[in-house]
Amino acid sequence: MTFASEIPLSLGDKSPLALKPLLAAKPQDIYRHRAERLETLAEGSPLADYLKLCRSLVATQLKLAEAQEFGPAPELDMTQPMPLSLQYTADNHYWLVQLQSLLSDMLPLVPAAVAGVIRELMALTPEQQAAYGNSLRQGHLSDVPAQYSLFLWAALSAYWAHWAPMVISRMDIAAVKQTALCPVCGSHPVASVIREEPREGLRYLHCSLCETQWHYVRAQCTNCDDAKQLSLWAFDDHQANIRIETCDHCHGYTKMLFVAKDPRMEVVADDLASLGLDSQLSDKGYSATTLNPLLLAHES
Amino acid sequence: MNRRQFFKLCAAGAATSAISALGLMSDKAYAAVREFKLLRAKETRNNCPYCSVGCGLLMYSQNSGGKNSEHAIFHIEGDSDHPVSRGALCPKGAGLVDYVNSPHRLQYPEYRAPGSNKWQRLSWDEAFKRIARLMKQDRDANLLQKNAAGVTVNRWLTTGMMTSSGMSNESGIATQKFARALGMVAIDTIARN
Repeated sequence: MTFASEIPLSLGDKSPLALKPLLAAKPQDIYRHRAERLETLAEGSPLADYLKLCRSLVATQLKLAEAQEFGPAPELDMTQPMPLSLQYTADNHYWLVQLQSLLSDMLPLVPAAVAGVIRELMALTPEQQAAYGNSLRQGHLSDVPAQYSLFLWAALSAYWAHWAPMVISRMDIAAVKQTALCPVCGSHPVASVIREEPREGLRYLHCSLCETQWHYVRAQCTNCDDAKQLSLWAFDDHQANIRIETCDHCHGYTKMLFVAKDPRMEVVADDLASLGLDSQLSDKGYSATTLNPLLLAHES
Repeated sequence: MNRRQFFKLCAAGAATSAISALGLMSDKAYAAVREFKLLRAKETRNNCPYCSVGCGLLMYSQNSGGKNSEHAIFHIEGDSDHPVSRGALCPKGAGLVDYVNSPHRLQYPEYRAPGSNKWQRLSWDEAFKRIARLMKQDRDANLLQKNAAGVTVNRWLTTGMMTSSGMSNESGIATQKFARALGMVAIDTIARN
């Protein structure tokens, strides 16, 4: 028998089913899973060469995460929402150290043409690299030469994904609101992930920069909050593991990855490997509200 | 400074993503591996009306074709965001989609005469008139205006009412007022089935 007073509603809820607004990342686990998944998806993919390059990149991010050489902890104002957002961290250039080691680790692993790009990027001044990094974080992807963005983002992401869990542990979780951009670092999400935990069917948005997942109510547009004109699209099967949620109010969309139905899926890798679905929805006039760190398509 | 943006994800454009700029874009990247059929479902949040808990639901429906045609519900699941039911459904709730699409759903008033084994269809107008007439007959014959002590009670004990559970508070109070004003005592709802 359950008494109404026992039904936990508040954030102080100790139940394992209680809703957690933020899920901190374990970067090493994420990179291992992602690298493995990219390798699997590369088999027989029209993007095989690119997915293999991305696999090497993620393996290099894993090396950075394992080395744990991230310098001093960033000084933050914890009274603000999105404490890691660019607004407060634009002067933080410690990630350039990650960039240099990432680029030198990648150099022997890539084809000659890509190695040329890496050498060009290494030769840029730290000021220029930092300025490009800030443009990317601001969502101004078209201000950065597209051949550099993949490596710049990977280094930025390795750096901020390292600090995000520490920041989350100091955040006032009760004050976290459902937002379109990451409540920790203010970046765009990669996609929606429908999880099995803390309870089956909850939707979390996965941050493209700091890898944090934050809760967002299902059947509500993650871009404009509209809940009246939503559709779910899928190939062949309405219950497919990968679907797209479109909103006819803002004409935006987010991909929905039902990882509870297939735990092998990984948000960044599977989003990238399912561009066929994106292209169909683009043709119908919808735009992505999400940013994949291994694609970095320009803003419209 | 943190501005939400839309991103262009399509095959057109030369160097508008990391893949294309690195020269690793394949023409087939945005193409489906084989001919898939793109399916669309409307996504709606609602509540289960079958008991007073009111569990949260997500419902998926499909347009049967044509601009003003009705949406046919083909899938219903528990709403994990609902603060009380948290995505769970009882067996009755889990079978909702079959109720909705059941061929045995009552869609119009029917009447079975005493002693007959046949149902006959009535118009709504006939049904309302018949119900009103029988209610009045029974109430005129059986209303208890005073009790044994001579106190006015206006009780109508020979007729009861089974109401819907799929109602808002407002229709609940309207139903209550209607039934109590007639002196009816036995009132219940299918929420308790």
